[in-house]
Amino acid sequence: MADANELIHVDCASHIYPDGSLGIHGMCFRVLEKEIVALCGPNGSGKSTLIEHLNGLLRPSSGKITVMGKNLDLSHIDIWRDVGVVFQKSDDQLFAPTVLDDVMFGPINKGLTIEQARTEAINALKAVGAENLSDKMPSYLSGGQKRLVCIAGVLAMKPRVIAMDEPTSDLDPLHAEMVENIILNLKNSHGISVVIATHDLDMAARISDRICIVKNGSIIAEGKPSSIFYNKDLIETSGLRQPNVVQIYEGITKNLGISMENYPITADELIKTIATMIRQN
Amino acid sequence: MSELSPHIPDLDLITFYSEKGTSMFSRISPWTKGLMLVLIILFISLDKSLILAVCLYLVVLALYGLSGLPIKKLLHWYMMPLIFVLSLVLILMWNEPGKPIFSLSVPYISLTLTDNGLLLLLTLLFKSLASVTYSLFFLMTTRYNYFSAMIYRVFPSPIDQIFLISYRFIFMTLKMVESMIKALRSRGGGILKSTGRQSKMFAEVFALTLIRSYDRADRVNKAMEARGFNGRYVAATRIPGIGFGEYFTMLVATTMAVYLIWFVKLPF
Repeated sequence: MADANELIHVDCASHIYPDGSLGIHGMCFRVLEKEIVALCGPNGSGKSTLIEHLNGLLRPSSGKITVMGKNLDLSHIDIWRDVGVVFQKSDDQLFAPTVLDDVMFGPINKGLTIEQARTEAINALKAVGAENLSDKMPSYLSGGQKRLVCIAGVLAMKPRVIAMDEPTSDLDPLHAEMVENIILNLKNSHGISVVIATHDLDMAARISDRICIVKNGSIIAEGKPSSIFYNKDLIETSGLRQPNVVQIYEGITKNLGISMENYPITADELIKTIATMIRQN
Repeated sequence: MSELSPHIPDLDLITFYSEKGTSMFSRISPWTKGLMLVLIILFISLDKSLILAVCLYLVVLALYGLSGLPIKKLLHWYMMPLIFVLSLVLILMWNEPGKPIFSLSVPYISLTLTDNGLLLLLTLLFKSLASVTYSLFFLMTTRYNYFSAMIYRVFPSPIDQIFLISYRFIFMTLKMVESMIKALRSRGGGILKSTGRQSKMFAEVFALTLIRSYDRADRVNKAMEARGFNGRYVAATRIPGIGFGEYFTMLVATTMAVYLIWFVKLPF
């Protein structure tokens, strides 16, 4: 039974590629209103395949996907209006002669006039802090700038959900932090739910409300970051490594021979926890 | 900037100059430059005089130079049009009526180069250089978004769509080929140096480039579909309009062209 605030519901969906390889298998997944959910799994686990299903780029071979209460079958080919996708490789997404033209592409496809599309595009560029790039050619942007423009290109369409495939891969720390802040801002200021596919568990720990561990095309565990990332067996059998903060905290408590009282998952939480431990001893 | 060969126009460099937009000709309306290109093509098609062809070439070369565009590069880039023109004219220039300059006899064939044959060679050469130089001047002083918006407004679908979408794709494919050549050079290879002894490897690498290009095109298409692409891409850039001075310049240029072609008798 779907929740009232459920935007996307994936019910036991499977996808087999034409070459016979399995993309997702019996995948059950949901996205709620105003949440950031991270799909964490190693390469080839099915994260990107699931993301392409959310936007209607791929159709499940079996199972059912419901987006905004509409069953994602051939009668709902305009699901891109509600669910935007930011692709892993920015060069795949940017094709227009200028940044502004590229960001206007989605709003024009939505049926907005040129002027309306231009306004939406400028607002979206401002929201990601890239308004100064509007006249530039995408080819001459840095990797970080390209990523910001890609996010603006999807944000300009005002979707309810944005799915991002490896949003911080190949970025320098400064741009990675910018993208993390934009993701948080999408949820907090724009009320957009964000799905991120990543194997950067540190980033997932910092910004996600919910973590889903993906392995062999299925979600094998889901929950709050603290409950998932402190389950060492689960993380390691999934082909991942615990976030640095968790590894450090576990190492400290093990070395000092004390039990863990709380479960920090961000650097700030770790600092506060260690400071409290020092004061108590 | 990088280039495949000094004799192939470097797309990166061309785009760099067009985007830089610091030349005074960058401020002229793209429509004016486009219409002047049409006028030049008409002039070249109707003109039969070598003197006019040389004059046109010098005027266009002066425009190119005044724009601050790289003359040395231009001379390198002439290689391709020269090969193209010579491959045609070296066949056409023989046995033209006129005063013989040079004769060549081989069994069954007698070839004579006359003054008119030589004139034909030079006229076509200067005409082609004028058109190539002006086209490069146009490309290097006009921002790509204006250029694509003009194509969108002038050409019918799907020609405009093919152009609008293929430009960036060509860019990416060239980048891929550049990376591949860099990788070859880094291990002691090179296009001309290695083709003879490593032709099989080159064939495989170029086949791989095609496959990768196809794969990339597929991903670009997917990313466009994800934003609602339905087969029609709209180029929304506003193109600066033609100013009064530009209308006047075009009128003067057209009048001069008509006068020179139809009313002036030149010795050759």
